[in-house]
Amino acid sequence: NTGFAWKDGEEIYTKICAYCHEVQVGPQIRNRELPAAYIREIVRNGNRAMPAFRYAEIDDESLAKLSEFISQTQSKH
Amino acid sequence: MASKYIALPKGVSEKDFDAAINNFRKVLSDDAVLTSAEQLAPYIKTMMPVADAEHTPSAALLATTVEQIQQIVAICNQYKVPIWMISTGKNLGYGSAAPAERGQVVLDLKRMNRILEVDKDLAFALVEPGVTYQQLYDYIKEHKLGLWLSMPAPSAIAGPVGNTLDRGVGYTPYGEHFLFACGMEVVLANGEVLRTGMGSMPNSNTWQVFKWGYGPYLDGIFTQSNYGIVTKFGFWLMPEPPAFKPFVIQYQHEEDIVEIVETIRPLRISGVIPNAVVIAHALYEAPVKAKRSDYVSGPGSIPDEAVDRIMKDHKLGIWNVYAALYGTQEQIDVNWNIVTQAFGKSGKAKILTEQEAADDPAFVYRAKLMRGEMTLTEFSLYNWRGGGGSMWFAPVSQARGSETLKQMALTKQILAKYGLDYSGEFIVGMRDMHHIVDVLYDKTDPEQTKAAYQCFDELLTEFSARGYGTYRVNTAFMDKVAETYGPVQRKVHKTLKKALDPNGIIAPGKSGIR
Repeated sequence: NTGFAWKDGEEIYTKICAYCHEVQVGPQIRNRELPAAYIREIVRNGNRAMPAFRYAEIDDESLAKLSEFISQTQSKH
Repeated sequence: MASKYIALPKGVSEKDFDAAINNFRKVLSDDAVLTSAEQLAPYIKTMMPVADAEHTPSAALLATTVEQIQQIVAICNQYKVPIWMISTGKNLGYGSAAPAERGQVVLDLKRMNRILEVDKDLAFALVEPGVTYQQLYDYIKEHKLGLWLSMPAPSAIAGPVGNTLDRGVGYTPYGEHFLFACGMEVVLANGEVLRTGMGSMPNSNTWQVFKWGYGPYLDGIFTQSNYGIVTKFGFWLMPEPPAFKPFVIQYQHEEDIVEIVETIRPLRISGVIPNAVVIAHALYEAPVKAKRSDYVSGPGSIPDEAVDRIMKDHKLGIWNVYAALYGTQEQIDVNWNIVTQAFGKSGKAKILTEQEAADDPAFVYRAKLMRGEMTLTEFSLYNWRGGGGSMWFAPVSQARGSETLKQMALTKQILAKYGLDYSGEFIVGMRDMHHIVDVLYDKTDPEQTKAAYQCFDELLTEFSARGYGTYRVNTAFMDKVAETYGPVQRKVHKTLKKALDPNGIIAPGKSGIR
């Protein structure tokens, strides 16, 4: 009887990131080969207009999957 | 020697804090007690014009059960450690996830995120604090429950518990969220668990259907307060209507707000227009379509002439009234006639429906908000100036045209004095308006940040001097706003605080209560 947990990187992207990064609120981040360390830095600290996301929202393992999804160059969201 | 903590709670020694942290670790797993600078970084990001150091937490605790929270408050009482509760922690413009006072331990309930019940027939939900609107939205879709959510613009990443506990609002007929709350479970500072309303009665099945219970009605004292930790929350959901008709009515002059409000009020009070209507200024909607830097550069607030050009270039009114009709097609047709007649009288209004505005990005996101669909498009506001500076200035107004014009003009004048723009909207209740102004500034610019702080302070001073109170405010200005409501109310708040939380461990400083 546990609560919600993320399935994979695509789910996190679709249900959080895409709401800004696919509608020109934030810059495009897919297909840019952004390094995982950079993504992690921005997600955890926020960046100017972008809010930060906590470990409680996206745990480290999920964040790694998210980074992998974002940096994939083949598939388009 | 430097402390191993990035901050310490006020009046707590490092030795005592060590002991408290060790005890927290016994209650929670190790990865649920966060103390390193790296782990705490996301809690420090705020949009307020004050040093991050003023709102730096000492630790964060990721509890998932009521029992854990009971044990946590016991430890807090023992070591006098203050905790700051967050649910989803997306209180952007009001302090985000950071504590009101430096050194408080954040009790982060994001992982306590079970949807306990959604009743299709009685149209209610019972959820834990960490549940997001997106999560609930997906659940309702997956189970084909035919119910609609009401949520604030941060929709997908925010949640009903945290939003309602700060008495936030949405844009559907269920937009006044606390009005539709029904039943809470609260862990008190002494560790006892209180269920409000019918929830206190053993074997009751009416916790989420009848609000008041018996005796004093307590739910309100747990909103915008620090009298307990809400661990379960019930609220009513709107049945999906057979038809939905969103529309926008545009006006060209700032003074037209008088006519707009006088026209809407009877329609709202009689229920012809049932939802929390928005009267958005051109500069509130512009960021979805336009860049500030394309129209103005250098210091100072944007001139009216530039706003005119934005309106023309991007098909905006100076006021843009977003509203909707709900019901069967017959009901909508009848009410649409009433609405178009009322707004058609003066000839000043331009009325647009989905037919004309389906491709307009501002209309699209407004239509989504008015039907409980997830969208974060309104975050484009934060790109207007950029730089991560934003405070909500949110005075309450009568739903009376002359009052809204007066408040708008005063706000614009004070903002201009500090070189800032009027990005405002009125969210229309039946008799009230939440006048919502995004005080946007570039937080990476120290001068502008200082100006924004002074501007916000002056807005509060000038508005309260005229009897205009604020409905909700960021953590840097909570004391100031508490003062504007007078000493008697503050004393009562304090008396309740002492009775319920004698050690002052629960979120001291929230709404100016210690």
